[in-house]
Amino acid sequence: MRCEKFKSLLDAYADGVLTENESLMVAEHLQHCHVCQLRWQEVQELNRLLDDAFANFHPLPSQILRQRIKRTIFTQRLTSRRKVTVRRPAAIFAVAVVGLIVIVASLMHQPLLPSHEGHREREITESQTKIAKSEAPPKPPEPPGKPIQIPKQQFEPSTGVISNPPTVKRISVSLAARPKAKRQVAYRRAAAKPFKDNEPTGTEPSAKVVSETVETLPKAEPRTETILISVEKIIPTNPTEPVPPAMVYRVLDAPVRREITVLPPQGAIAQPISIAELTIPSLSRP
Amino acid sequence: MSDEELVKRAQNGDVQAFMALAERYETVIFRLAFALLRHREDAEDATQDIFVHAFQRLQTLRDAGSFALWLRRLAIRICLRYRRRRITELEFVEPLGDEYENEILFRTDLDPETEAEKAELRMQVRKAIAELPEPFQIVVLLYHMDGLSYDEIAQVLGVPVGTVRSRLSRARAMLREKLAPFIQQSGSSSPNASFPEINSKQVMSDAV
Repeated sequence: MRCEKFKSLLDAYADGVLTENESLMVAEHLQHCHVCQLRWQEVQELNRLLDDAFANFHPLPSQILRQRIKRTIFTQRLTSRRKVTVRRPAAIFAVAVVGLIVIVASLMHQPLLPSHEGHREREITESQTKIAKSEAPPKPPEPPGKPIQIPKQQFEPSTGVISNPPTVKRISVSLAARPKAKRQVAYRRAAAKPFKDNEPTGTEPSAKVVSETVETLPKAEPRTETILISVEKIIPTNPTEPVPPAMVYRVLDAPVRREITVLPPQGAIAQPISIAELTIPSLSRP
Repeated sequence: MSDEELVKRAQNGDVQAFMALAERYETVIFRLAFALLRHREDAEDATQDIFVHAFQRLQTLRDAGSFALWLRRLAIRICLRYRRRRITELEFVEPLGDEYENEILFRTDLDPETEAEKAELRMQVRKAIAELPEPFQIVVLLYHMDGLSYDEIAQVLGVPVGTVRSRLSRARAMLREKLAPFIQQSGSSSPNASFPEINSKQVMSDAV
């Protein structure tokens, strides 16, 4: 019985975590108990085996792991408002490519100014009009707002190109949780007709986006998805015309087709080109 | 630069400081993940998740000096989540490292046959550890592989030191049983035990 007590202490004795009194007792017992001496040898031998088992065990991760960590962390900082976990670089690529179809399209002139209201309604598709009407009933005519001027120092008259640096616009769209396989969403600029460079101005659109890229990031939370839209260049066909910042996006999400009208936040109207952060409040699935 | 200093910098938004920490602990955490998951790709994915989570939650770390322990705690939690998620895929696990023993076998100053036997023994021991129930496996890995003390293991696992001691003791009892043949072989071949060799039959008859 006494040996059983010491047997339970031998591991801790080997690890040197017994109290001084306990250690002395075990040492003394080991001096004259041959059974415990054998056990003590086993304890030592097992410890040696266990230590030795990992002496040469130094598996190294692949060299790109650190880059993966770094890239993920920087991506997270970019979208720091949301928690995003990206497992592999390939996953980012796959989601970006498969998840979204980017279509280069014209900038929809959606005048916020009352004088452009009629034009806006012509341009928006029928279903958009329905949504627009249901969400925003017709307002009584208001006095014309302050015209929006493109900053002259950024406009090249010879080429008609505004040399703005690439502008990143962040749009948050809430989408209902759904199976991964069906998470393919396409966003299309909703302008029905592409605008030509030499198109006469007037009531026609006065600017267009010639190139834009859309990137989606993996879903971070069950019901949200972040889309980054980078507008590379905006060509105004008539720089004196105001460039309305409002745009219409069409979400192609089979079998549901839905249009989103992206409106700028209050106060953004004075800076139509440098597109601020826009938020689509919600897009709940029917 | 110390961990503490790097952690404080990282907590103030210095990503480079965090990457320096990641560089410092990458192999340690990967080794722990690999030992727990026994699958290289899973271990790499888990290691990435561990550091990304660590970066996200770095603000919650109050004692910057205990970063290494805190990181291990996070690592264990994430690795166990990986293990539970792939419970049906266990047939794909790797045998824990015979590839890492190959270097030794190619050394000309060592007897290949003896070294092969030793490598085989080490692999058997690692396999026996991997087959232990989860809590026991973890304490063995933290103590014998990572070289943590009882106090540090208690801090990592969030349990009292007494629990660490009892788990380690039980884990070793299980391992003694599993590895009995190897212990007898290696014990009989090692004259370096602390006590002189004694006749075991005689001892057992004395005990009876």
